[in-house]
Amino acid sequence: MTLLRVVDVHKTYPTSPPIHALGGVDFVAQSGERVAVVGRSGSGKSTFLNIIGLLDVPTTGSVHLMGQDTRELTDAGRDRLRANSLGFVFQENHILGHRTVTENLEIKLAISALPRSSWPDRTSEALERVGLLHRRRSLARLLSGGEKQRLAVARAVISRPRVLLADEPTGNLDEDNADNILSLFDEQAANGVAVIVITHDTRIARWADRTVHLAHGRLTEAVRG
Amino acid sequence: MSVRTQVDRFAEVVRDVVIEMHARRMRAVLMMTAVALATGALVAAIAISSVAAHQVDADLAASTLDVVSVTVSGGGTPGGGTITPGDDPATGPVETFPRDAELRAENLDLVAGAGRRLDVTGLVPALVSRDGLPTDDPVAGVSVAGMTSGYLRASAASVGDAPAWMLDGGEPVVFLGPVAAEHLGIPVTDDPTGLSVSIDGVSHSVVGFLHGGSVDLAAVVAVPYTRAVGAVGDDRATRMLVRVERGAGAPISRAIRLALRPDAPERLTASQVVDVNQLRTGVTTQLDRLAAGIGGFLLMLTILLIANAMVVSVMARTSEIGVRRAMGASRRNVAALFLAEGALTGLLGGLAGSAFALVALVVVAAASSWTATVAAWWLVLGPGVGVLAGLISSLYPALRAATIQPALAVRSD
Repeated sequence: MTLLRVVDVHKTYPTSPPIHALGGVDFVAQSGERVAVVGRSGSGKSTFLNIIGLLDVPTTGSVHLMGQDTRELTDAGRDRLRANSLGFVFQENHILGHRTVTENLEIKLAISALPRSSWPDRTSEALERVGLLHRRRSLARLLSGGEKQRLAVARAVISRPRVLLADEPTGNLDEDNADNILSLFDEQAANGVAVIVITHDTRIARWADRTVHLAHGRLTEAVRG
Repeated sequence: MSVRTQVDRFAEVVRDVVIEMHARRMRAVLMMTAVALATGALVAAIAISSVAAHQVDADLAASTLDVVSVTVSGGGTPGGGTITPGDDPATGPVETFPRDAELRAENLDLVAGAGRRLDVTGLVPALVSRDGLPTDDPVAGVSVAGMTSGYLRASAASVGDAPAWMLDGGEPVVFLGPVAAEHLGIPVTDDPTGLSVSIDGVSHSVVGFLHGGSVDLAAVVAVPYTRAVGAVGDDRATRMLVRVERGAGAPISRAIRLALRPDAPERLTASQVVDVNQLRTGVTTQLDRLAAGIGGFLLMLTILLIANAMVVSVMARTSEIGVRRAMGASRRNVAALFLAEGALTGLLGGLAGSAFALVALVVVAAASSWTATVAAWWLVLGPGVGVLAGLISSLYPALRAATIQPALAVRSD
């Protein structure tokens, strides 16, 4: 089942001179698929992530998420779709260190407008999956780098999104922690989540079911991982 | 290090700062405004206090006032006789005030009007009735008073087009206050021809009616002053009303006795009329304005300080805001976060401020031996104003947070 479809997307930033970040990108992600998007710095990877993550709108072209043409959505509609159907994991985990592990997850639960009665079970389930249940009351700043990234994954999946987007999720991690993160992504894929990872890490390219290359704003299919 | 090198380094620092301030213009403006208000508050407090003090002083002077009362020293005692025709004012009653008292008083600078009044009722019998009715059926609730035309000027009363000068003669005429006219069954009319009242059996023609004035003449039957003196026998109960320019009460009260009786000023007593209520109102008003002025200034300062701190907070939380937006938070959600923070900060600050103010009030009152009084609404004022200040100060920061581009914000690290 196609969860995400990108059709002839162009993105130009109105700087002087204008920056053509994406020049006609087509892309599809299926349920349970693990896709690596690789490319050099400046190739348009972050722009591509922002477009498919509904953080930005294309200059031309369309993005269809869960069958919904996002051009038809208002800003509020895109916010809701992002809250309920997308999960993000960034290279910088962006965990709020002054809050506890549980409180960090509850931010996402509140934004997704999930019933408060479901919060305890969901946080326990998410922390169990990433191996941080025993640290639920710890202040997030006391976690190690790998633990923080696992917490970021838990935050991304706690609302049970259908598409998981990750921007260089293992960029700041050692090999063991990186493997942990990829294992968590495997679990999500096994549950039917489409996992799309932006990376220049060749190991992730090998891990993925499919690898696509971004170069000069254009996407080309690469060898299967 | 050479001087030139030091100058160059200093110039480089300044240039660096200017670039930074230019890049964050709004923040720089907010901070400069906060400093301006802080220093301005200090100067304003001093200036406003000074102005308020001057105004209070002026109000005190003004309240003491524009009226001087002159009486016979030692007061008067009831004399004899009634108001009857035939008395010779020139040789009859004993008078302390000179015959030309009004002229002497009005010749003084700063005197707008002067006139004498002698209340007959209470000193001698003065039964008033509608002419034609028996005098043993007098009308109640009216009083007879002799007055000069100058008294009408001094009290700012009016008789319209009626001949006020007749009060300066000796004819049996009366001017009626509206209540007196009503009690006597006399219609208030522009042409009182043929209307008359009886005072102790003597018919007096009604020549006019009294209106307005700073003294209550509504129930008064005014007769010429000399007739009243003739009835009473002396002017020891006479009171001269002198209207002066505003604030000239003190100097006129010193000069009027000498003007009236240069031979024996000690026979007269002059006193300023103080309107206590006006004085209280004036002082209270100026103090209220002082407090409101300083308080308003400090509140503006507080709002700007909070706004500035929140702008800094928004900037520091840019990546957090970006992540929240990435997680699906709307612009409205983000704005609400900062508005709520502002309101809560204001509420808690206002509560603490009210508590502190009450403690300060009690301490200051105890130390100054004042009676501390607290109005219930003051306890609500602090948190109420605090919430309002918090909301106002968080408007711009909330707007700024809501417009942060999440795509850029999550890459801010």
